[in-house]
Amino acid sequence: MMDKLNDQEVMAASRILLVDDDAFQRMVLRQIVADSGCLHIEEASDGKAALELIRTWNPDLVFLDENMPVMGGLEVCKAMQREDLYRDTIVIMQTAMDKAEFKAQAFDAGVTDFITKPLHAQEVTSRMKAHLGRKILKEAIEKDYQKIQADLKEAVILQGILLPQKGVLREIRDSQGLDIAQYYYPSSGLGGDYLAVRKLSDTRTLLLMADISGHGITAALYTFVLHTILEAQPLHELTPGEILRRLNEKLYSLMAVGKFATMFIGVMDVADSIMQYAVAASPDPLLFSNGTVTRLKTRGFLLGATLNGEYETLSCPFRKGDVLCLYSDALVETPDPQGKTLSEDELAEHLSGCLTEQAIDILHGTIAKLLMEYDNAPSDDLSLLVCKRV
Amino acid sequence: MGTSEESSEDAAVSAQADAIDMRALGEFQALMKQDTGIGLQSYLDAAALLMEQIEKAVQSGYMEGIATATHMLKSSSRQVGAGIVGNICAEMERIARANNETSPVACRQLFKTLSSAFQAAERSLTHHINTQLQSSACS
Repeated sequence: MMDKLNDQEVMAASRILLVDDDAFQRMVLRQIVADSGCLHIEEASDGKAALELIRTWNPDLVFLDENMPVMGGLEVCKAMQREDLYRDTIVIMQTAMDKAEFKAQAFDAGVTDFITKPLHAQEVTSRMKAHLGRKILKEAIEKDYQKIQADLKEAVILQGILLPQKGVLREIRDSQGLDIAQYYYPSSGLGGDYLAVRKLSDTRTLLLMADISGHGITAALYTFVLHTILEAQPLHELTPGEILRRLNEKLYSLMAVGKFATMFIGVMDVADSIMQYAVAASPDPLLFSNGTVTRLKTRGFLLGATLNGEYETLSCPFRKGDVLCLYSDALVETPDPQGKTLSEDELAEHLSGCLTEQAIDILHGTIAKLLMEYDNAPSDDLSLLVCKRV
Repeated sequence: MGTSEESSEDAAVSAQADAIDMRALGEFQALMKQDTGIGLQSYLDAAALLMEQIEKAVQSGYMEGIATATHMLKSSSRQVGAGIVGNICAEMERIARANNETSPVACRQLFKTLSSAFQAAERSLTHHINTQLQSSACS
């Protein structure tokens, strides 16, 4: 209501309550407050009447006398605390006392500031303006914060749309026998991880996992950029290495200095039972086949860091029963409460124990269990993708 | 050149003016503007009642009553420039709050000083009110 107002408008819009059992002091204070430009002024001559007005009139600022019969200023403050009446109410206590101990008690009871008697008009006005100005600034910040939160909520939903959708995964499972499950945890509501699954033909499917450096809004915006660039590529015609090369070229011109992305792209061909893949500095994918686990170690430059990045396309068998696990670095870099991180070998061991299950159970049964051990949520975005050929 | 009666009155007013901190009174006047007279009269009315309360409390040795009334009179007196009244009140409030065996006697003695100081302040402020009323009437 009161953002973007100047001093005069702030004073005119504010509700000021004067509480003092001394009618003369109220008269003096009213004169000062009115001279400051305040139009909405109410008075109370004791603490009880003040509390009633605070409840019903919701003043922006209360001038509260410390010494009053029936209910003193400190008691009023404590009652306001008990009843949660403060919200954003400014309380300036008028006192002739200069005892530090009393002031500490009053601050603890929620008092914002003090003025001493006799009242000095200029000081009272300056303090009012300063506190009301801050109050309005705080309200404006809170309003903006609420708006940003609402925007973020919508952005999170939008980013969720970028993730591989259940219908697509089901269709690939039914037609190609690739059982794919994903886990996506953005550490700041929005995340810089990106997952993609594309059916390239009746027998070929592309899996992609990317991790933009950093996390939060900026990293999330880059995932939309990445998505757009990816959608513009003739994926079915390109090798994984060529896709990475093209993405790197585009991202290099778009990403800010110091920003980069890691990525894995695999194309599963169920007709030939092979997987072609290329890597841009992502964590080593784990391939489980016939009781053995292989870390797919490859070379490949970070995306967006250098214009002439080279990305080699490799291939390996991907037969029935084989399982591919992709993960972002947060999984092996987030320490547990004891400060220990999960090694790739430990991850492989955990996964090995449940390879007979469906992809979704491999995720939930093993990886999610590991996440529970973190105690706190990871501070970086975390993604996992499991693809099992059934 | 004034009469000897006028000179005597001026001297009395000058003496009474010592009871008032003219700078503080000037600030009060700047704040209240044309309502200064009303403001001062409000002070004097309230102060007269407080003086009665203090006197009764002193006579009965009721320390809490002394503390409460002097506290109130202290603040309002300083507001209109009656700093001496304010200072005596502050001392009486301190003694009354201490509430020890010497407090009643000390308060009785101080009340006499307070009465004199208040009378002086009252005369000075009344003179100020009248002067203001006269100048308002002339203008």
